[in-house]
Amino acid sequence: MSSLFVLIVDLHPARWKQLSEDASLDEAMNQICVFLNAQLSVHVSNTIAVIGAAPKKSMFLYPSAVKMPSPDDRQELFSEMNATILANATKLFNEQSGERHPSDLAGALSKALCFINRTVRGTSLQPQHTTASSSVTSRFIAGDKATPASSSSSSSSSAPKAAGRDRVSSGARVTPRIGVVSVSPDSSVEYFAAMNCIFAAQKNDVPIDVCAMGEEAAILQQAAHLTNGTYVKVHHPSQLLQSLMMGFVTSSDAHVLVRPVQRRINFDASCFCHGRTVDIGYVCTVCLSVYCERLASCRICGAEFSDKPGA
Amino acid sequence: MADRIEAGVEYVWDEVREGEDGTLCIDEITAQTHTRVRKRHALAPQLGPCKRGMIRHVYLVVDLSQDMDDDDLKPNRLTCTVHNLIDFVHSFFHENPISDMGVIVMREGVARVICELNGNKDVLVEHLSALLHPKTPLFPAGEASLQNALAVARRSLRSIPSHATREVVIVQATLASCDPGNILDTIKSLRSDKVTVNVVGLAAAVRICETVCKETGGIHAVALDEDHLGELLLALTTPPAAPADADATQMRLGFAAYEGRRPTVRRQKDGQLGITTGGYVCPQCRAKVSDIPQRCTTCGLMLVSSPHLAKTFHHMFPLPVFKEVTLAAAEWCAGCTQPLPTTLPAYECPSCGARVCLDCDVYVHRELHNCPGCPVTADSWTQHNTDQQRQQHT
Ligand SMILES: [Zn+2]
Ligand SMILES: [Zn+2]
Ligand SMILES: [Zn+2]
Ligand SMILES: [Zn+2]
Ligand SMILES: [Zn+2]
Repeated sequence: MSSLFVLIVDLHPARWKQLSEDASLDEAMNQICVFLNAQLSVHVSNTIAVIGAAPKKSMFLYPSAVKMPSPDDRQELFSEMNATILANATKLFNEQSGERHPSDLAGALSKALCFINRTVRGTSLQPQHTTASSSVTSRFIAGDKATPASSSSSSSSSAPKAAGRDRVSSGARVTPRIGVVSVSPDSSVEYFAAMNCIFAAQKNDVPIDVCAMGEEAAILQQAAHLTNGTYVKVHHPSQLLQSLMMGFVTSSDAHVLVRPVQRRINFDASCFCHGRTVDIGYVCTVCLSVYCERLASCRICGAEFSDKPGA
Repeated sequence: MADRIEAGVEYVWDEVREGEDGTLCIDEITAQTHTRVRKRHALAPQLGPCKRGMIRHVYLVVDLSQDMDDDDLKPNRLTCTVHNLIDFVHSFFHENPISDMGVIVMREGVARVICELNGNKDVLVEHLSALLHPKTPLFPAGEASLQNALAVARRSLRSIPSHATREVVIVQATLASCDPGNILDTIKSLRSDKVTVNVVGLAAAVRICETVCKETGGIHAVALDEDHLGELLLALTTPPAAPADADATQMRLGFAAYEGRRPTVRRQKDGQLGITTGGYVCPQCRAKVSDIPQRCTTCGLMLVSSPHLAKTFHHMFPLPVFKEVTLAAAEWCAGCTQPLPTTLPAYECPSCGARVCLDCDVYVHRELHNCPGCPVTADSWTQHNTDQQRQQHT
């Protein structure tokens, strides 16, 4: 069974600098590339994609929209891939200006889910020139079309029928996963957009694995928990490769063996009235906004609350 | 039956041809295909933000009359219905995490509650899949009684607090109803108790069902085939618009934290008691439950997590509809990176101008509810939210 792995790398310049003086981004990216090469080596039809999340901007690092040469053997493919990822990551890392903004993780997750949706469900609403029998491996040859990710449209045989329930109908089953290498703490501004991504991932059975460097990322911790993914904490960038290898195992069977257990995950909400964190709250039954006290009317949707408390 | 024949059959095979190497492939995907797909997903006209009934109480009514044995749906009506209803239950609780559902069956002229209103989808799925068991005592037999089913549902729903919705979803195979009294009286009392009835027919539109749905503000539809049945049910998972005079209150909820290493005794799938680790801790009494949302088994506090509440966010602030544009030069889809040719329409986000393919357009509006191109920043979100709220208030 082949896998589709989409890795999201947080490229927040300020956070990386904060993280450690001696470890550079290049070194971490090299470790990530080693991990990705290993991923591809596990199964001949495994595919990967890499997305960079920088402040206010996220983009695909691989497959990249610029022209990709067509390597003949896998060895060459690996070196091409590594070079592309490194070049694009460095470019995105250096062009950043708005360092006080948080990384666009929600945008990166959205892109990853769109990519997975198209690749796994393969609804083929766009002409793809792939025949029903085209094997997933053909993507290695198909590189010369200079198309970004003309990969593994495994169920192009299905009629134009978008987003149906019949993901299973695709011939070669591809199991998608998302991995996130994060260096940023939570930014509550992204909360709802990130939550939308998590619910979509949960609904589509896409586990989100998280590798948090530096500070804890509470939203990502919830993401991993809600999607049945793994959350690992890395204290120093030099441990990155090992953590990725142990935590982000693609085969779901092998996953059981090494899953780290989360000691405690808070699902507290913060109230709309004071921004306090509450573990018992009063929720508007119309819009579900959370308050820490009883009010006469809802401040978000304006509904008047009747006196007697419900349920 | 006529419905099914006359309805929009999609000639999907017209687009399939034989390629040079003898395999089948699809080509000639035209702008018309796009329009059709978009229309099918009802993306073009979309409701703006509105108040919705977020806390729902729904009775599923399954017809178990003889007519359920027909095999016009494959493999037969019952199997197809049950499978679709199980999907429905899963999607329903995905969309409406703090809602309750129950199951009623209509069989041999009577209606019986086989599963009381509850918020545990595993229990519901278990009851539904039991209907397909070869030795089930509830095999399809006799006639269905619409009136009895409605009366049973009403009796249970009328005690629900008024801030929650009261809904009935009926999957009906039979064209007849064997009722003990005047069904019009039942409809009247359903109206006064604010119960909404939706009927999904498997055979044909039935006059009395149309009347019930119209009078109570529900939806009546007839399934054309297996997939259509699924789609009709799926449409009912979206929370209905709340009536203007809907009651609102503040509900007291507990946000339970997950503790991965605290052992508890829990009943397992096979009915045996076993010790498991991992569970959610009630913030009020520190008792542990295996899954949320559900009521604390010790103190009765409703336990949820903050993500459960965030699920309904996209109903309040829906993603704007993307504009259909023709590209001057080929580019790449902002979501999935596949090439966007100039020959086909692309879809443009009104707030960030990112262009996406049809696949992504459907996906982001139906499931993701995020634009893949919009960079989320503090400013843009607060701006977005306040704009939306202002619109809502005016
Ligand atoms: Zn407060
Ligand atoms: Zn409200
Ligand atoms: Zn309790
Ligand atoms: Zn796309
Ligand atoms: Zn946008």
